[in-house]
Amino acid sequence: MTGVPSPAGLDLRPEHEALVATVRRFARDEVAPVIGGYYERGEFPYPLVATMGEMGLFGLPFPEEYGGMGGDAFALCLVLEELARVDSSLAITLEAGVGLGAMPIHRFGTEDQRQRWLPDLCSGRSLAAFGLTEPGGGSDAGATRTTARRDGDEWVVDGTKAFITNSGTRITRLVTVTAVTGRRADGRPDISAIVVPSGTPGFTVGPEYSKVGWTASDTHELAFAGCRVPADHLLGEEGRGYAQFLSILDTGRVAIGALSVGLAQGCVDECLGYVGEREAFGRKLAQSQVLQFKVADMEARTHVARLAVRDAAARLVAGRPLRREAAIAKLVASEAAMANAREATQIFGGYGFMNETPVGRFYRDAKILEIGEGTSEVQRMLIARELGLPATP
Amino acid sequence: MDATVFLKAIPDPAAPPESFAFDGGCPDTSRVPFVLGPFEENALELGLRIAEGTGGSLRAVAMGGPEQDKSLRTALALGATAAVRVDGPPSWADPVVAARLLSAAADRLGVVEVLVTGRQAGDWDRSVTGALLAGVRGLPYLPRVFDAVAEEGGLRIAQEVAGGTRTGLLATAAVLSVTNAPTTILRMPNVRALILATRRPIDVVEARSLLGEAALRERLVDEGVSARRLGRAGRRVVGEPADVAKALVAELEAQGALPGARP
Repeated sequence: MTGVPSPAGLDLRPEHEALVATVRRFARDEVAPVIGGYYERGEFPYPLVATMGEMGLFGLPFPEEYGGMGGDAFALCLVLEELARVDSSLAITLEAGVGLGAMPIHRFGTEDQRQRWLPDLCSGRSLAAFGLTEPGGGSDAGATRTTARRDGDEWVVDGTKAFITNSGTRITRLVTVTAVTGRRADGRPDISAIVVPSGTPGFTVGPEYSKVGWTASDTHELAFAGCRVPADHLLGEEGRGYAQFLSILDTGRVAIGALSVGLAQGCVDECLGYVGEREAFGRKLAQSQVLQFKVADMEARTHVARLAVRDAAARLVAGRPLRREAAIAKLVASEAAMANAREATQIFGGYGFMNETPVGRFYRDAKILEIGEGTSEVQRMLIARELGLPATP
Repeated sequence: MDATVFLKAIPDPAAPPESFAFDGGCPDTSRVPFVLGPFEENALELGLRIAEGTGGSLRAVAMGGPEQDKSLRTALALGATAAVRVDGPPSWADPVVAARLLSAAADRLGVVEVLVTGRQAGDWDRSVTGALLAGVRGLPYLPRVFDAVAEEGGLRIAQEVAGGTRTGLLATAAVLSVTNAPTTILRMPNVRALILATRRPIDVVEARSLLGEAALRERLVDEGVSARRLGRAGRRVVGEPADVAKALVAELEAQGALPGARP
């Protein structure tokens, strides 16, 4: 599945169409009927994740020699969009597992590291997490406090990570952690990436967060206290961890953009069904021009967001620069998702305030899209920098 | 045991009504995505189980335009070894003609022992193709099958019957018409297989090359639906069961809904 799709990215190739149709069927037939229960219970949907593994979704953009499917990031975005159209918890589980868990190992790992870890991650039998954010850091990856010092043939990791997706499931195999491994002459930290397998002594997974949304996904705080891992668990070059993860974040922004488009589209889907059935004041809601305009705006936002995301995804596949486009895609799509979720909830009225309706879930799930993988403010800052505007204090 | 499954993609039932256009005759489905019919999904799953359970192979046949290819490729992704599409006839072709075409297409794929169809098409709900196919080929017809397990001497077939199930050993070639059940829920294809299936060839054969132009135009089954019959208001029948039964039969006869009856 190589090559660049059409310029607008909307005319899909046959393999993309087949992928979309299959994931749409999975989301409709297997996810939609049960996901509300997982969401209400705050339970990780292991059976659904297992099916996604059997379908090969966790190996989608990786080469076959590591157990991957030979697809690409564009295909992954299509899958994320279709999943998020029904449920965002599964979509973020896939996005984090592939984009943040396995992708750093594929992109920066040695051949031995790839052979050791990728086959299980590609099959979905195991998940990997990406430990970047810290309690005091947020989007400021450069403010890393976690340290890793070399002691003989081992790295000793100390510190805390916050909001780490997929880090505490019973199939989580490893977490890639960013840590300060030294200081440069100008005092700036050298940040490296270290792979810490689950169950390593000194590595503690905190309790599951109580979240507003994405409640069927797995998110924990992680603590490292004298946590020792072999020296060959360094991922990529020592001191290059920050640069590596900036590029991972660029890719992740496109993926979160795709997830946002899915949620925005899900809001349109739900509202179209609802206004066609619900009656008020003696007529269908669909006959109200006020509501027609709301749904039309939702559709327009979704369409524009999809164009932005697919443009960025096509650039990613083509290996073209995409920092500006990725930031625009993430900004436009996440704000479209939030706006659509707000409008959908309004259209559904009291039913929209009920957790059992999909739009209720969408409303709770949408907000994080404007925060994760860089807040909307960070995206605007990146776009401004790409336009040549000076950094502000 | 080699099997052939007959597939039909239908306009997506989840497509919004606005996607359809009507010109007073047939619906214009050019703006509607096509998906594999629900009972064809069941048929495909059972066909796969038969092929896997017996160490045989599965082939897939569809009839219609390129909108049918996605369904055939799904079959290829799931393990079908070959696919044929009969191009040319509209989906509302005469059912007997359709059965003859499908039978001829199956012959292109070689000798088959089990022919598998869905219980009924998801668009026209005719529920006749399987039986007509059996008639065309002179084979036994087993309706409402929901399981088939390889066993010494043949296939142990499970069928849905009124009030329960019936099982029996099938030791001959036959046509199975498959219904929906937990055993016939179609599995999800692997992504890699799906990608590879998009590159595999589908044998497209012109309908007229299988039957000839005149045979294609034959109308052998008249099954028009009268709007007048559907337009009557409902009537609630109450009373002793025997009286209710008589009243219902009389009502159905009056509507021309029983064989041989005319309103």
